[in-house]
Amino acid sequence: MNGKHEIIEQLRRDIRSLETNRSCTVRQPSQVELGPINQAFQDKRFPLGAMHEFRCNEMKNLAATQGFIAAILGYLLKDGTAGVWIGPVKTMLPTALLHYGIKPDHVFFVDASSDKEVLYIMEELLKCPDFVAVVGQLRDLDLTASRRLQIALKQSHVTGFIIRYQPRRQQATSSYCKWQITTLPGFKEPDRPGVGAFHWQVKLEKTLYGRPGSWTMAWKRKHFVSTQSPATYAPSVHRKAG
Amino acid sequence: MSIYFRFLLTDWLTIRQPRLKGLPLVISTVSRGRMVVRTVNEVGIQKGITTGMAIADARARIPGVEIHEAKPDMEHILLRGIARWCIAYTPVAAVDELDGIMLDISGCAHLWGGETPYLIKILSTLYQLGYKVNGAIADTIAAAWAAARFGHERAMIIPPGKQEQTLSSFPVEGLKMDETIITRLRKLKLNRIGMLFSMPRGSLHTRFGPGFIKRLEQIRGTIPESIVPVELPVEYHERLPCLSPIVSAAGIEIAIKELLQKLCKRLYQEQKGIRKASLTCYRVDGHLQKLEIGTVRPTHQETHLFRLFELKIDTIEPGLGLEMFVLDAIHVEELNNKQETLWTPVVGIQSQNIAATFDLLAAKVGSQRIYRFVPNQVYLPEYSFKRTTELTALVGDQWSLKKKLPFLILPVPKPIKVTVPVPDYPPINFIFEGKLYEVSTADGPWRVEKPWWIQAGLLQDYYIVEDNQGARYSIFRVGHIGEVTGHQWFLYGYYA
Repeated sequence: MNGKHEIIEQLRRDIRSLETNRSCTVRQPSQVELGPINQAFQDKRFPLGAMHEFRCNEMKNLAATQGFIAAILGYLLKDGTAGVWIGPVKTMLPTALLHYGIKPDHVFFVDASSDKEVLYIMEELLKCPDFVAVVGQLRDLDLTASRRLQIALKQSHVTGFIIRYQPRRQQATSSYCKWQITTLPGFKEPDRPGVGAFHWQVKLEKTLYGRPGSWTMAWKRKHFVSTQSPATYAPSVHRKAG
Repeated sequence: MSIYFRFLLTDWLTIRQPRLKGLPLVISTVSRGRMVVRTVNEVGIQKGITTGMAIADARARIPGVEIHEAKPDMEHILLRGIARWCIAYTPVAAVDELDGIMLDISGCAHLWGGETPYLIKILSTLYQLGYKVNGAIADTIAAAWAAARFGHERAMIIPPGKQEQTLSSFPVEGLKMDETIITRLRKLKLNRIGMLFSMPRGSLHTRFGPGFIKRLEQIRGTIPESIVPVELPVEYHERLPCLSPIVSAAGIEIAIKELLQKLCKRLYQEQKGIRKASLTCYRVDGHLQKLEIGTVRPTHQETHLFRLFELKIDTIEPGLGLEMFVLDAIHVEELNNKQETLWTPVVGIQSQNIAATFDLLAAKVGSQRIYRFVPNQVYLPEYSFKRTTELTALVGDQWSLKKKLPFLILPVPKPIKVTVPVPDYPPINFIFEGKLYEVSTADGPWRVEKPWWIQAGLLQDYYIVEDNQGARYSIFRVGHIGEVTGHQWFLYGYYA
């Protein structure tokens, strides 16, 4: 009995050394089809393996922010990959994730109440390269903490999302992108009853090496749809030194 | 082996309050509306106090007698604790009624150099703690019980097969039979156990019943007797006694590594993995320190398991030193031994990395706080999922979404006030926490009724309403409008 396992283990090890090619184990990065927003980023695609920070003050905008992130996760969580959502679990209805094309059993939830806990758990989980995305909801985030998170995901290439709900202070953080999502009246074709599709005002306040701007986006049939006439990007922020 | 505590409660009290040493001490209890003596210590007995005597009489006999009270099941609590401590000497330890402990020592004594040193080691340790104990080792439980209580010496070892011979000089109380049978035996002048062995079975059976014959056979060992251990011995179990007590974290680490090495070697050979394990540290003063770890998927990797224990080492209080470590694999599962595919590594929920990450996180924040949701085949939206801490199980494609649901919900739906001009239509506005929300568009109702087997409870009508700022809310009404029992509106959650 003993010998058999050892032989099998040895054979596996041999095969691994013969065939392993690390490059083919790297996941193909998913594309997030954000339409015109993608043009704002440096290499014209949604930055993965980076930290995205969202700010909101009201409950309705928190719902909008969560929905927008879940929509992005819908693109990322493909082929059975897993994500984590850290925050007050009691306030989430996991079945609703199906709207965004996510199977709720592919998202792990970690119950955490205080900012410190969320940051600790997030940092630990961001180090694990097998997650695709880690979402954390907290209140305040300072430069040191955001830098730590950024370092944690640098190696693992996990995409991190931070929702800052009712932040007490405006603090400088090292997040790659800063967003603000607000609700808009439902997007629907004329003369159709009901409330229509989810509709958001998406404000990209800051993105590294890119152009900030503001767009209106709807979520229809599990895809983002731009709902404004094209080419109305906000002018890039004019910076002056001195 | 049987250990008999002659003065369990009074000894325990004396250990707790050393000033009582050498004083007559009585534990009292209430019986038939008066205070009587429950137990009395050695000094008290010498001065003439007996169990069952009224407290007033005891006071009259010795004016300065110390009278204390104890919880009714105190003996049992104490003996359970002592039996747990005895697991350091044998895996099977049981509480023996209200005054003793029974140990199954098969195959244990040689580790201490034979039965005599083994018995003396246990008895002297208890004696040093302050318990006056007798102990006996015999082939059968019944014989050991009798020898511990009625033996001529404090520590007695009945040689193999000699129990009949040794017990024959003991009084019949050593049979552990009913009071009525003992008095009848005494009346018949059958005072010694030895007299019974030579009597014809038939006459004993007619006079004392089948239970009596069974007891005699149990002493002989022809009918088995069993004990109920305080803790069931675990199949995967390793122990490490230390020559000198260990106080440093480095020492504990070495001990854990050594234990894990042995256990993991065995698990590897049997292709099994640990899901839950516990480390018990025996302190020199008799206290037990326990650590527990859990894993998301079965594993026998030493380094990973060690890291989980390492996180918890600082919770051990070594006190004056730890003299023994016991590692139990409480929950062991078969390893899922599938061929790993090399070019498409498991990156999903079954990934090794994720399991390891969650193990470490669970060791820090507790495994109860990490969940996953799996489908539950119930129509009601609130019950359409189940929370589980089982993180790696695969779920089939059983999710179904009947209607639009909000992701953000209130932990408890909150009551709102509404204006509804037309019954069963959505409201035109609602007041939540003192603020008025004007409804511009709405969807609904989506009616959810309680299942037929739950007759109680009213139906719920869910609406999606949008206010003029674009925020979408999920609200519901319980009960029909205009129903006698009344109806009520609640805010359920927020749509994105």
